Amino acid sequence: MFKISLILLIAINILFSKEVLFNETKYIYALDNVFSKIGTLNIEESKVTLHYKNSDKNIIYTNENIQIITKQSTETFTHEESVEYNLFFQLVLGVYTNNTTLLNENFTIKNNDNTTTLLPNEYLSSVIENIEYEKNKDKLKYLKINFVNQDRITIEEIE
Amino acid sequence: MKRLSKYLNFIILFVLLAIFFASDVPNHISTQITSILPAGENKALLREFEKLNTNKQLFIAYKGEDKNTLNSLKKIEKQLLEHKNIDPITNSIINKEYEKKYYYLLHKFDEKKYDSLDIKQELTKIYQKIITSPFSFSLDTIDPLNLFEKNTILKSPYIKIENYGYITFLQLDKSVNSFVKYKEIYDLVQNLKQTDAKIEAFSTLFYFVENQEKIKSDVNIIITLALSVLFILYIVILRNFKLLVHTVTTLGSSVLFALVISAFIFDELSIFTVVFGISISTIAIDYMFHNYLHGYYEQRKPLNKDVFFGMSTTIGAFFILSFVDFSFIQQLTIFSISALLFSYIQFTFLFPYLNIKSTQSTYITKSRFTLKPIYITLVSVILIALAIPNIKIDFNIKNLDVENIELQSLDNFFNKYINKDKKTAVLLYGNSIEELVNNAHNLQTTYPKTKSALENIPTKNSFEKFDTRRFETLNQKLNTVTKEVGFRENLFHESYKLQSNLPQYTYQELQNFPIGKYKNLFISYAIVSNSDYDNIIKEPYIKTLSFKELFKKDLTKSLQSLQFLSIIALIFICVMLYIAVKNRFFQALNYILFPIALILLVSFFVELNILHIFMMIVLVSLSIDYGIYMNNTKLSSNTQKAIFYSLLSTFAGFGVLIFSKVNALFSIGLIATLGIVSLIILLLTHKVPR
Repeated sequence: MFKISLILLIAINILFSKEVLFNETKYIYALDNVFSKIGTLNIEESKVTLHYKNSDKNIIYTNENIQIITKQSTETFTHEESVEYNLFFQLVLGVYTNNTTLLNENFTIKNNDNTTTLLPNEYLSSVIENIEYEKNKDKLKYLKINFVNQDRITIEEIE
Repeated sequence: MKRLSKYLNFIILFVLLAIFFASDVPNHISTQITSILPAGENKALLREFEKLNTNKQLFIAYKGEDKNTLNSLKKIEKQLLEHKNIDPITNSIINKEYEKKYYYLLHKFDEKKYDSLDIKQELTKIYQKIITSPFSFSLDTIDPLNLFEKNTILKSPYIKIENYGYITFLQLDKSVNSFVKYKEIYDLVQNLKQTDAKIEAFSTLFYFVENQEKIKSDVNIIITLALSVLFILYIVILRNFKLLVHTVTTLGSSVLFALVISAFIFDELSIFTVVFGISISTIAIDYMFHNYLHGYYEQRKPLNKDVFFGMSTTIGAFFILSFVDFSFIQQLTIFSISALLFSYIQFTFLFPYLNIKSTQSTYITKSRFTLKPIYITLVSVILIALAIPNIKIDFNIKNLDVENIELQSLDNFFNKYINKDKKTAVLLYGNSIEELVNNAHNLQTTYPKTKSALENIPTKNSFEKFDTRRFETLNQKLNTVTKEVGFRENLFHESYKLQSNLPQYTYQELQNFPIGKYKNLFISYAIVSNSDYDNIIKEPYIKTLSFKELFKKDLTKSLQSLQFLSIIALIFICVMLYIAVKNRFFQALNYILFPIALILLVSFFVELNILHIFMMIVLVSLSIDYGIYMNNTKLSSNTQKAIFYSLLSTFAGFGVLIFSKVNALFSIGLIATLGIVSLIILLLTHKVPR
């Protein structure tokens, strides 16, 4: 019985989970420099895990909280305490799962041809200028975040 | 001519109705409790403050502990933000450009950090933060080394409440300053609340909307009750429909006349004056009953002297009280004099031409139980003597307002989580804008819990004290290591450079700040902690904005004149009484003493407020009429009957206010009912001559 349950659980997990490998390019105006890193997003039914290559950090987002796990420690934050990560995960989840309700919480969605533009609400508009993304079926071609301070983040899914 | 006199009553009503609307009287009627404050500097300052205080907040809570609670709250917030007058709390009233310009003068400099500062090390730390930041790091180029106090840029506006849910707060803009706007916001929130029972919302402006609604519905109930009592009196007891129609028409005309006259004299007429005034106007029915039951209409007898004496005494007492230096009392006395005089003229000179026939009713019987007047005098004197030491005056005007328990508990709920430290607004003033700004800064320095928008205007002193040379050196040092650490060249070129001149302390320059003018004074306000309040109001440039305090101050001042003029009014009443009844003076005096004694019993249970006192004076003015009528040498059973009827109609006017939930109206109703009861006792025990 235990074995069956375990197999079932693994099967469900495989069915709902999705691993996304992506390349993140960040242009930082203050440093006038571009930084690139490769990361993975593990989207499961009840949690999302973010991990960057060459980093010992795993960031886990659940409906309850956000955890930052390193070899040495585990830090737990509420969504309100970790506003930046919370926003990042909501954005990624919203885009990947086509969850417009989630995106609408912070943005106004504008669709033009293949691209979608997200315009931030008043609260976020002091930080984010706009967000643009394009998807090809379930695959994310790119997601570009333009910040008010002239920083730019581009995320592209790797084949 | 005869036909014209038959319809004259109605013609007068229509003419007055036309004047009422043509002269825009309804717009003079105010539902705000401040309208009963005496006109003067305090009231003017309070009004100026209301104009300045733009920081009205709207608190929203969403109940629930599941994962969707916050999302649901955000949805509600989004819907509310679609309204053009609702803004997020992050939108400070301070112009960002202005703040940037005077940044170094407006924020506290951390000397300790500066003394131990290693610029390169500090910049390296920032560099690390930037490259490890999951999103974008908001680097402040004005103060990259964090030497000045600042707020975090991304701070969540949602507060999690354990075992409840989430709270957020929004801001209502400057244009939300009228009742129409209050109602618009209130309705918007109520509609949202109806869609989801988990939503709770509160704003102080809800008190204005809900209390007005409560007063209105109360007044409607009272009017219905009053009309029902009058209907029973005329149709069931007197069975004279024509008399009812003409009496109601006359009373309606007298109210319109009084409203027109009052609106002509006063710019603002309190709703309490209107309600109370309408009640007083019904006293005039008394004149009609005496004329009617003594056959003055049917037989067209000459002037009824008793009624004339009664009317002159009441109006005379009101006239004396109209000199009390208190706006509400002045409004009431003028209203009452106008209404009563108008009704008296119509009941005396017009009614005999209306062809009203007397109908005898058999409802009133003579009392067999009589009391010697001396006993009543003794009991009255003893009760008054016992009550006097108990008399305490309640100065809290808020106790006269509607008791909105539901809203008060919501207010407390949000206060508990958001404004943990209870705060009160005080008025700041100065002879010039510069002095006003300095005062705001001084206040903030002495009492750090204080908040004032004017703290964001630099003082001349801070500008002069700014050590330009020190910051120039800092700028140079910073720029030499910028590139070395890895930052963009010239990124900190303008850091720590004061680029502006001293601000001009003019309205134009400071138009985004809450600065007002009253006479030669420049005014603004500060929000102070209640723990500092008692000390702060002692500061020479501070005035209290507590409505309760202002009212207490003005009332104490007015009480002296009220007491003095009440004594004059009592002497006047006694003189009139003596002229009218001569040797039965002391028996007639019971009609003053006994109602006072019974009314003063209230002081054993509650503190007396201004309306208790005023209503007592009104009742004394009334009961003196009955003292005159009942002690007339030609007293007939018709007099007793007339008094019963007029007491019943007085109850319709005043007594029904006892059913009001508005404390002000309840106070009036309570005293009126006690007065009426005392008069009924006097009437039942009065020896009726054969």
